[in-house]
Amino acid sequence: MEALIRLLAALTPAAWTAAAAAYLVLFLRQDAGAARWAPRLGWTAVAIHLLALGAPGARGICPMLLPGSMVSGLGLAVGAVHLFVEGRVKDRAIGFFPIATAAVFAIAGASVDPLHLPNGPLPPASTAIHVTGAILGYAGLLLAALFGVLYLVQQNALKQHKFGLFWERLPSLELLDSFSRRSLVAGVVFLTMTIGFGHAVRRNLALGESYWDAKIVATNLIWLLGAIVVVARLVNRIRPAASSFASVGLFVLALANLLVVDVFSKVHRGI
Amino acid sequence: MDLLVAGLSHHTAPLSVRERLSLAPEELPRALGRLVHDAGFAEGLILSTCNRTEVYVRPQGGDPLAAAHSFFEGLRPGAWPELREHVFVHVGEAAVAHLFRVAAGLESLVLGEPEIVRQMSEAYGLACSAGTAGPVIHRAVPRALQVGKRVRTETGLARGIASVAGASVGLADRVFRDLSTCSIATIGAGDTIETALRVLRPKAMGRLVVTNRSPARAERLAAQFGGVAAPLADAARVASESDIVIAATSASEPILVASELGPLVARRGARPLLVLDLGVPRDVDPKVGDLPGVYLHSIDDLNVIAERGRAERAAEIPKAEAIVALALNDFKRRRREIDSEPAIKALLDGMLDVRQSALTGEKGMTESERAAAERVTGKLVDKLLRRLAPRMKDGTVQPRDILDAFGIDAPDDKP
Repeated sequence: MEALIRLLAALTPAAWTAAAAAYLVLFLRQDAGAARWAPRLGWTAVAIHLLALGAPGARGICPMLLPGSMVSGLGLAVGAVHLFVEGRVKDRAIGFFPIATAAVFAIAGASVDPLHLPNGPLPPASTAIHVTGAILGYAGLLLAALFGVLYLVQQNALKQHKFGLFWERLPSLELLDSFSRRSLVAGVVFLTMTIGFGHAVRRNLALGESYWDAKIVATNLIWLLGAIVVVARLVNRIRPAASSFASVGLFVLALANLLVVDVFSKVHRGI
Repeated sequence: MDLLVAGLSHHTAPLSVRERLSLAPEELPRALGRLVHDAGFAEGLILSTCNRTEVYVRPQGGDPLAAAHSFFEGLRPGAWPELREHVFVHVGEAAVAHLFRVAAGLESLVLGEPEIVRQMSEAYGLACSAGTAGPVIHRAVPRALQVGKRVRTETGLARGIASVAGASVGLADRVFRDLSTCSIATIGAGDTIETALRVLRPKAMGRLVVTNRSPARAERLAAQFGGVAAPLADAARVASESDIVIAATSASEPILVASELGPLVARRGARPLLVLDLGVPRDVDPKVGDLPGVYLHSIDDLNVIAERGRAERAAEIPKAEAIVALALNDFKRRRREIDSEPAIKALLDGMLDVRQSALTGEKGMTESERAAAERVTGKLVDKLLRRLAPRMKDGTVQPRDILDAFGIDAPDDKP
C-alpha cells in the first residue's frame, strides 16, 4: 500500500505537468491535436490526483489533513474547477494558466513525503470538511485572481494598442471577466460555507469561546472584502477592471493568510 | 497531354482589369461548355474568384495557347485587346505546381486565406457536374485540395490575422464574448463604412444604426444592411447605445468627442464599447480611448495588426513551399507510373508474342518438353518484366526506348 501511495504521489505532478504542456502548445500554436489532448490529459490528472489524495484513507488517515495534500488539494481544486468551467464555456484558449498553476501546487504538495504525519495527534475528521471548504474557497480566489490578471493583460493590450503574442491568443475581455467574476463568486460561497461550518464545529475543535484568533479574523476579513466586491459587481458599482484588481488583491491577502498568519498562529490557537 | 492553365490574377492584372474577366456563378456552366465544346479542350475547369480568373484545361492537338486566347476573347470580345497582355499561361509541371500553390494559398492576395480551398472545391464540383472534368483534372484537383488542407494544418500560413478587414473582426472578437449579438453604429455612410459593414455585419447581427450628414445616403446604406438611419447630430447618443462604432467621414474635425461621449458611456455599466475610427483625418477624438470601458482603434492600428499577421504568415512560406514541392514530386511519380502503364502492357504483349512465335516454331518437342519450355519462357518473360517495369515507372529508362529496342509499337498517348 505504501508503494502505491508513493507511486500516485509521484504520478500526480507528472500528470499535471503533461496537461500543462499540452495546454501550452494549444495556447502558443492553437494546434488541433493539442485541443483534443489537453482536456483529456487534464481530466486524467484530476483522476490520478483524486486517487493520490484518497490513498492515505486506506491507512485510516483522513486525506485532507496531511500537510502535503492540503497544498496539492488547492492545485486539484483549481485544475478541476477550471476544466469543468472551460468544458461548459467551450473555450480552451486560456487553460494553460490555471492548469500550470495546478501543476505548481501539485509539485509543491509532492515535495512533502505523502506518508509523513504531523507531530502530535491528528485533528478530528470533521476538520477535513472545514479544510476542504477552505481549499475550494481559496481555489476560487486564486482562479479569480488568475483570470483577473489575464483580463488586465488583455485590457492593457487593447487600450495601449500592444498587439503582441497575448492579444491574439487570449479570449475576449467579456469572457475573461465572466471567468473571473464566477470564480470569485464560487470562492466567496465556499468561504461562507467554510466559516459557517467552522463556527458550528468550534466546540468540537476545542477552540474556546473567543473569536480573537488571527486566522479567524483574517479569513473573515477576506470573506467580507470578497463579498463586497461580488455585490458591487452585481449592482454595477464597479467596472470589470476594478473587479480584476480587487480579485488579485484578495488572493494576495488569502496567500498572506495561508502563509504568514498560519505560521504565527499555528492554524488557530488550540488546534 | 499535360495540364495547361491560362488566366489572370492579382499578380498579373490590376482590379480594373480582373473585374472585366470575372465570371458570375450563373455564367460558369455555359463558359465550361464553351471551353470544351467550342475551344476544343478535352477537359476544363474554371476558377473565378475576386482575385483570379483561371481555366485549367487538357488540350487535345492544335495550338492550346491560341485556343485559350480564343476562349477568353469569346467570353469578353470587347475587352480582349486590353486583357490579352495580362493573361499568363503555364503548361505541364508548371501548371500543376501553380494549381497546388493556389490551393495552398501561396498565390492568394492575403497569404494562406482559407476561402480559396472552398472556391476550388466548388469549381471542381461544377466541372464534374457539367461533365467537363476528365482524368487529368480528376487526378490534379483533388490532390491540390489535399495540399491546401495539409498546408493549413501543418504550417502557420493560415494562422492569425492578415488583413485589415480581419483585424476589425479580430478586435471585436477580443472585446466581446458573443459577437453575433453585438450592435453596430456607424458615423458616416461612405464606401469605407460600406466595406467595413460587409465584413462586420454578417458577424455582428444586433441592431444597426447608420448616422450620416446626408439622410438619403444613410437610409440607403441602412436598408442595404438591415438597419435604421439616424441624423449625424445623434452620433454620440447612438454610439453610446451600441457595442461597435465604425467612423469614417470626410469631416475635418472629430465628430465623436470625449466630453460628449463620456457621460453617456458612464451609464453603460460593464459593457465595453469598441470604436473603430477608419477616417483620415480622424473622426473620433483620441481622448475617447481614455474613457473607461472604451477601446478606440484607428486605421493605423488595424494596419499594424494585419502587417504583423502577414509577417508571421510570410515566415511560414518555406514550410508551405516544402509541402507543395513534396506533393508535386509525388504527383509526378504517380503520373509517370500511370503514363508508363500502357507501355508496360505493350511490352508484356510484345514479349508474349515473341515467346509464342518461338514456341510455335519448335515442331519436334514432346508434350512434356513443350510444357517445360512454356514454363521456362513464361518465367523468363516475368523476370524480364519485373526488372524493366520499375525502371520504366520511375523514369530511369524511357518506356518508348525499351519498346523500340524490342521492336514493339508504342501505344497511343493517353491522358
